[in-house]
Amino acid sequence: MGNGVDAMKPISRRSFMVGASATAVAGMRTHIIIPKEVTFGLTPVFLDSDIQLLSDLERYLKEALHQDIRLVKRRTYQEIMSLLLPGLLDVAWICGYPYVRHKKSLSLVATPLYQGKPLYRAYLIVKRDSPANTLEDLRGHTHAFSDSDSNSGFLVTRHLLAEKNEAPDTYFRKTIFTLGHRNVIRAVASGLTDSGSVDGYVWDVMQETEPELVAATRVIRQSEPMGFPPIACAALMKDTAVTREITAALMRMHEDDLGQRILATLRLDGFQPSDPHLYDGIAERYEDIKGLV
Amino acid sequence: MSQSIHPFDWPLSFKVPLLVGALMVLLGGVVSNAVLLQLSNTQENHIRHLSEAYLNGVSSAVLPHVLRSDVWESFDVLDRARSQYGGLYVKNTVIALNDNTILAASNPVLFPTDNLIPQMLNELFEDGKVLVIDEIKGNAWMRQILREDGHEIGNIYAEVDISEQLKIRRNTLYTLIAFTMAMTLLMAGLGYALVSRMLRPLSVLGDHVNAIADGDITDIDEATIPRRKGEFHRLMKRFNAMAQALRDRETLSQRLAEEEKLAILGKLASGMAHEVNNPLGGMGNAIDTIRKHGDDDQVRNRSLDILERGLDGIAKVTQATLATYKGSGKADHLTRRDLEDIEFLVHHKITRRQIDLKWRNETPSKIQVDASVTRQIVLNLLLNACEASPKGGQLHFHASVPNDHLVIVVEDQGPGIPDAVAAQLKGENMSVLSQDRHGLGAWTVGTLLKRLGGHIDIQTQGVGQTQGAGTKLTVLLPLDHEVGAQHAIA
Repeated sequence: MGNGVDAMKPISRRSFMVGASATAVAGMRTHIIIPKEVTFGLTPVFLDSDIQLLSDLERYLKEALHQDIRLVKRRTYQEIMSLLLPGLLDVAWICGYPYVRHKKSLSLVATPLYQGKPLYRAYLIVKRDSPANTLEDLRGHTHAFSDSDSNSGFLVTRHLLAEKNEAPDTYFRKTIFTLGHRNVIRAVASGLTDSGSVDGYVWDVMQETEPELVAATRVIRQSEPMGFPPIACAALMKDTAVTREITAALMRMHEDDLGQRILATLRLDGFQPSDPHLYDGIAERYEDIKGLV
Repeated sequence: MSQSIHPFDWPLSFKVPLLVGALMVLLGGVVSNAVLLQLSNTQENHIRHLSEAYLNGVSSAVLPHVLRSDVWESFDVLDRARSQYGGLYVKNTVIALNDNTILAASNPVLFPTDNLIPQMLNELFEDGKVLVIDEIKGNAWMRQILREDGHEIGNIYAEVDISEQLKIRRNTLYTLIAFTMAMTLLMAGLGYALVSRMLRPLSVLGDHVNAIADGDITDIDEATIPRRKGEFHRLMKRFNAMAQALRDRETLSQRLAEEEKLAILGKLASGMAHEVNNPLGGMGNAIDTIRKHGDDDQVRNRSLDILERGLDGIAKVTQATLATYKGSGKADHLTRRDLEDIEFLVHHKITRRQIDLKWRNETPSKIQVDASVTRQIVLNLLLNACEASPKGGQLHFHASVPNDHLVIVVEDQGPGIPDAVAAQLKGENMSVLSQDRHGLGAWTVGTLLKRLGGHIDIQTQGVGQTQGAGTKLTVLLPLDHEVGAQHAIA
């Protein structure tokens, strides 16, 4: 494991897996043994369907850390959070919303730079030929959310409705959770739902990667800029060697050929150290609706 | 040979290839039907198996989501599955819950979530079918029940595009039709060539037989007769033998007709002798009277009158006989006098049988029919009528030329004419000579009438009775304006 040895995490791969499963199921921590590989959690906030991208990322981190790396994918934010919070993952690319909810238990590692800024927006989308142009027009529609732990895919719209003293179940005729921003676009494009709440960064990037699918949808509302989904680790692992190395690898990504390829695929400019205040807007929304959710 | 459009009359060389062609079409039809049926069954099974595989895969993937009524996950399965089944183009997949509401569909616009499934789907599967093929729309709908622990939790419907399969079937049909047509034409052509070749001797035979019907009895040329001693060889040889026999018979018949003429002559000879003999006695007496009392002018003149009348009578008899039996020579037209001569010729028979002859000759002085043949016909009919008439009976003779025909009516009170004799008078069944005593006479009249293009009408009542209502014969002979200018046939 080289430099990444940490007295707090002496776990073998096998016992890690057992422990991870046990924790996921029972929600309790097991005794930590030295890990032989670094684990990097991914959520659907990221374009996790691109196999080549995952392979490149894995290879880049492996070369940068001189250590085996394992990308851990789960269907929901909740599953990743349940692994991240107890330190069963070294780091994970999460969303701003879970971050603000678990701020005390988490530590920010890095924030991606999109179009030069660590910011993104949330979009409300409808089918291209839909007559709807405002949120008000979506009343009585069927609506697709991404994940109940997603900022752009749920919280932003939920907050807008709360401002109208409305709730999704009453405002919309039917709501579904697709557990992925790409799936929200698919649901709206296919006509399964009339509208959807989606990550603006994902929608923008998919305009290039899957133009036909995205062209079937239309953005009717963009939120103000918010903190881009960050890479975070459990607070208790904040200053570990592994965390430091991962942070450094991410910060240097734009300097490396493979790293540049990854960033190009992700349409990102690079990573910068995270500023917790980036997520104040999200935190405010969360505070506003906390009692309602 | 008369041309007929009735299929029975078509030549064999045409009918057989036609039949071969028809059988080929029938065979082609049956084979095509069997092939298409088999293809259709195979395709249906193929579609069924592929659809079942698709639905089984989708069912097992979607089942947990249906149990949770998870719209997105159900849709996600359908959306992904659509592109994952090669060889099967699934147009639509619909998952319906037990209450027939749609949980998810691959095309949510056509089948929106929470709506009832279209009535069309209910109707398609109402009788428990699993696969329904609509060849017009080029699709197939399939249904599978979603079960969990033996409980039905919904249905999954899949619409499969089978237009490719139908296209294959159509192409197969066109290929089969083209092949059958080509084979039919080929077989019909071959059949025509082969059958024509096989039946060529038969058509030669047919032509010769037809020629016989037209009166031309010719042998089949030896070069035409197949050398191989098969059935056609034997048949043609036999035909030639038969043609020879027919020619012999024809010669014999002609000879018989001549003999009939002589027989009549023989019959007449006795009558003639009688007619000649009658005045001879008176004439002898007159000569004696002249010898003895020749000086007396009155006696001499009376005796000479008797001699003159006697000689006239004899002259008439000889002239009539000569005119009737002068044989070949120039065809001359009939005269009123010729018919009167016939009355004279039958006179002795009339007298002997005490027949009351009602003679009406209303013809003009010249009648444009062959004199010799007509006289023979009329004499024959009258002699036979005399024979048939009872003693003391009446015999009517009436001759007239109402328009373009010479009409001769002979009506007696005899017992009638047997059918066989009547047929021969009409020129029918001429190849058989009736055994009746009048047979030869009737045959002769029939032959002569045919020669002149005449016609006879026979009204007989009470055949076999000795004192019947009698027989009325009406002979119609068309006037021939060239008679007198050409050679007679007889």
